Formats: sequence, C-alpha cells, structure tokens
Amino acid sequence: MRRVWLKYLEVSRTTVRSRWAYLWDQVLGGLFLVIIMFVYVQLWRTTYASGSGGDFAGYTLPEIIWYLVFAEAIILSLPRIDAVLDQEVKDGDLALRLNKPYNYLLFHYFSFMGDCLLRVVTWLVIGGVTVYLLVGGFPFRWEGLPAMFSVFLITQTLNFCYGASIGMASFWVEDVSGLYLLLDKVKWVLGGFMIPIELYPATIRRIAEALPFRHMVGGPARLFVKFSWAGAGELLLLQGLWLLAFVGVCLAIFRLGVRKVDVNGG
Amino acid sequence: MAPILTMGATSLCKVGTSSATLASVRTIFRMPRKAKEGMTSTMAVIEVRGLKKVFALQRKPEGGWARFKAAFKPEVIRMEAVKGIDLDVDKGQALAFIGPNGAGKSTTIKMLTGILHPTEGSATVLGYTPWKQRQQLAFRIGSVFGQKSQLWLHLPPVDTFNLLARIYELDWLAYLQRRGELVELFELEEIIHTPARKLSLGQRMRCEIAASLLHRPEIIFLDEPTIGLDPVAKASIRDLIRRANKEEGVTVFLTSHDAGDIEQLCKRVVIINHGEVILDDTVNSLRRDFMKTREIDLKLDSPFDGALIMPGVTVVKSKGYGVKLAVDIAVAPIDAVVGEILRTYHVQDITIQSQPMEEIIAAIYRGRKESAS
Repeated sequence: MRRVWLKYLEVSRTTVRSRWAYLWDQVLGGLFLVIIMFVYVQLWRTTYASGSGGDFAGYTLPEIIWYLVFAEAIILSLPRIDAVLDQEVKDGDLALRLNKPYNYLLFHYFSFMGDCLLRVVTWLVIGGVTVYLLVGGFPFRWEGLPAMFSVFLITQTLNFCYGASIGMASFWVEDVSGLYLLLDKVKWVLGGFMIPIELYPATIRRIAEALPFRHMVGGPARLFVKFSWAGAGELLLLQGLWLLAFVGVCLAIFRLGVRKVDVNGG
Repeated sequence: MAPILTMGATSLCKVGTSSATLASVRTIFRMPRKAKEGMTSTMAVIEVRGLKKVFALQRKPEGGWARFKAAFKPEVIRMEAVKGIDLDVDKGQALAFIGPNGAGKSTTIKMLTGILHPTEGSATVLGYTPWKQRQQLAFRIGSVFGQKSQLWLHLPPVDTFNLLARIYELDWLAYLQRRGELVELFELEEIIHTPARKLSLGQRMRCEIAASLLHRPEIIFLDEPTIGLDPVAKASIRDLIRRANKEEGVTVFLTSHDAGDIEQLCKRVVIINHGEVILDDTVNSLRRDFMKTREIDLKLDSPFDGALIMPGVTVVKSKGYGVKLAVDIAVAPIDAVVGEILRTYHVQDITIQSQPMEEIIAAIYRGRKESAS
C-alpha cells in the first residue's frame, strides 16, 4: 500500500520539479496580480469612501482585499487540467497513459496538486506582499491553519474534478475550450471570485448558495479571512458532500469516455 | 526506406520495384507455421484467437442541412478494424508486426495492452486477459512509441526514471542497480542529467528505451522506435533492442515501416492489412521472396553511357551524371554489382536502398488475391 501512495506522491514531486523550470515565468506573471490588486484596492477604497463609513456585508476594507487575494490565489493556482485531458484524448496520449500501472485520474490529480501547490505559494507571496503594502494586514487566525489547509486541498480537489470533467468532454466534442470558457466564468461569477456572494442581490445570492461554486472559490476565501471553527466545520462538511458528487460525476464521465474510445476507436 | 550502404554524400530516392512472384506467394501460404525457419516452439507469451474489433464510426454527410440533422441523429457505420486474427508469440521471440497505415496494427496492440476491448475473440498476454487485467499486465510489459515521449521534457531523464521506478513499485536499491546497468549498456552517463528537451532525437530514444526496460518487462511493444532518426542513431537503437532481446530475453513486438528495422531485429514477421493477417513467416523467407530488389542511386563523374550490362540489373532512370538502377539480388548479388560499377565508372556518390515496406506489402497482397482467385 505504501508503494502505491509513494508512486502518486512522486508524480506530485516530479510535477513540482518540472514546473520549477517555469518559476521565473510565473514570478513575472505575478506582475499581473500586482496590477489587478492595485486596481481592486482603488475600486474598493472609493466604494468604502462613498459608503456609510462602516463595512460591507461584514467585511472591512482590508478584509475584502485579502478575500480577493485568497480568491485570486485559488483560481490562478489552478492548472488547466481541462486542456491537458483534452489534448491527451485528441493526440492519443491517453493510450500511453492507460498502459502504465496507475490510475489515470489519480495520476493527473497528483500532478495537478503538485503544480497547484507551487503556484499558490507564488501567488500568495506576490499578492500578499502587494496588498500588505497597500492596505496592511488583518488578524489572521494562525491556529486555524491546519483546517484552512484541509479546506484548500478539498477546494482544489473540487476544482480538479470540475476541470477534468470539462476536459473529458473531448471524448464527445471536438473542442472543449468554448465549454471551458463558459463553465469557468459561471464558476467565477457564482463562486464569488471577484466579489463575495454576500454582496450579491438576494435572488442571485440564493442561486449561488444552492450551487457548489461558492465552495470552490468564495467560501474558502471567506474562511481564510474570517476564520471560525464552526465555519470551517460547516464548509468542510458541505465541501465533502459536493466532493462525493463531483468524484462520482468525474469517474462516470471517465468510464463512459473510455467506453466510447472502445466503441469508436482511439 | 532503409539505406543499407552509402558512400559520400547520401541522397534519398523514392521508388523501388516489386518482383514478387505468384509461385512464391503460394509457397509461403502453404507452409505450416511451426515448420518455419527460425521459429522454435517454446512457451507462448502472447496467444490470440479470432481477435476482432469493430468500431462504430459517425459519418458526416455533405451539405449543411444534412450535417445539421446528423448532429442530432448521426449516421453510424461499422468499421471492422481487426477481422479475427490468430497469433502466437513465443517467449524471447522478436516479432515484426507490420502493415500499412490503417491496417489494424495499433488496434491490435491496444487490445493486447488492454486499452481496447475486442468485439470478439480472445487473447492472453503473459497469462493475463489484457482488457480485464490491464494494471497487472502493465507491470510486466513495456512500451515505446516513436512518436510519443514518456520523458518529462523539462527534466533530465533521471527524474523520469525515478518516477517510473515508483510507478512500477520497484524496490529502490534494486532500481538503482538496474538503472546503473542500463546507463552503462545504453551509454547514458553524459545525457542522463541533461533536460530531455536539450537531447537529440537519437539520445532521447535511447533514454525512452532504457526507461521502458527499467522494470524488466518480459515483453516490449515498440511502435516505430526509429522513426525520424538518422542512420547512425537507427543503428544504435537497433543494437540496443537486439541486446535487450538477446541478452535479457525480452520478447520484442515491433511495428515499423522501416524494412531495416525488420531485417535487422526480427526473425519473424507478421503482415497485417485491412485487419487480416496476410503473411506470417520468417524474415529470411520475406527477404528471399519479396525483398529481393535493391535500388542503387549513382552520381557519376561523367554522363552515364549505358555500358553497365549485367543480368538482374535494369536502368530505371538516367539523366546526365545521375542514374538509378534496380537490382534483383537473387540474380545479381549486390556486392558484385557494386564492384562492377566501381570498376566501370568514377563514382561521386552512391546510395543503396531496399524496397519500401509498402511495396512489399502491396506485392504480397496482390499475390494473395491472385492466389485466391
């Protein structure tokens, strides 16, 4: 059993080493985040200045800016798993992967997580330093770090399943990039990527609350800023339930897809 | 096309001629398999019986409206990619499994490695039913795809080797020892720590084959391992495959369009076309009966005067200083022809090539059709 897990950990480690070659590209790409955060700070400063002087949906100015840092870090650290799987199906690399003694989806999951962890650290450092210089810090609850890390892992697992399911649509459609573009933006909007969903109009907020997207972006970002053990427990429970559904869908799509390859040829 | 001898600057020619006779085709098809030269009856590691694969393909009709309707109700046609083939491969054998594009080679290999389920028939590879026990089988087989890489491009090959050691759940000390052996055998010392993207195609292919042998597979599936390589790199790769086969007893299942790969690596050849096995024989027989034409491209110091008259040698084309000859090596041994050329002319450049595999297959296929009618 130990050897089985070692192989997947080695996949993550190898991905990190491979991504390391791009580290400076990523750091340079971080300039984008610096600009975005600068714009956000100016926008929210103006918004707060024109308001009653209190907070918005319980967020102070530094809290909402830090919320955005975490939301950006979650989204920007996601590797394009949809594109990877799409390409493998189209190029026939799927066959190369399937004749190795590992689970195809687990291989990609551990590779995804390795890449994701490297990226999130980069984005958090760049975004964090920028925002700290612009609006200062906030009372971060260090004791909640293990719970936050667990939430982060489940968040990215949900995002993996979401992206992988879109990518595996290439078993049926010629090009998944349009589908990805649409579904990714749905996730951004209803997940609270650019604005916490608590600030949405009541109807849209109710829709967003009924869907899983807030557990993939906004929910974790809110928890990192406004940590509470009760909030962490609730989020982990809801994420866990959605995770079961997401994993089920992902596996079903994979099995149907492989069967389709079997019927229609490689 | 496989250049087998070049002098001076090499040049490639395009066309060869086929001279397969109906009689030889008939002889081959009557020959019992076990009686064939070079085939020993040891333990079969691959056993295939009546393996068939039918794909359901969607047809896209012409015209906008028809295509729109087809998006909702597609027209599906059945395509028989493999039409019930039988095949036994013995342990330690080096088998060339060849055929033109779309013949059913890849589909057969995908069924033998468990990636595809057959529509009918049965197969066992090392005692496993591949499509039911794909993961268990994967531990005992290796594969190299000439056009696909398992190396991580931004990492040195040693990192891919380490990953594969974990993937195949190898004991770490045993792995290090094995890696050392392969590094020495494949002469990888100087390249194993260089990022794969900086290696030449030949160096990369050496690493690919070493990577596929790390877990000591009993069978290795090689799909066009020498594609795109220069003659020196080809020779090196062939030598490594031969050594894996001879020294480690690895069963080699090779597909290639390069006649040189087949002649130099394999004793047995199975030719598949339109999903059917059209020939299962020794490479020696194939060479004797079908690969008996060589093409010689010459560039001379003076215009060709047509003075070269030898039985079995025909002038295919001549223009100015250049001439192309077709040599039937059953009638005129190649060394005698080359000797005569060098005695008669001042040669600036000479290239000798065997017949393209496609032409050999076409000749066998034509012979088979005639034989059936």
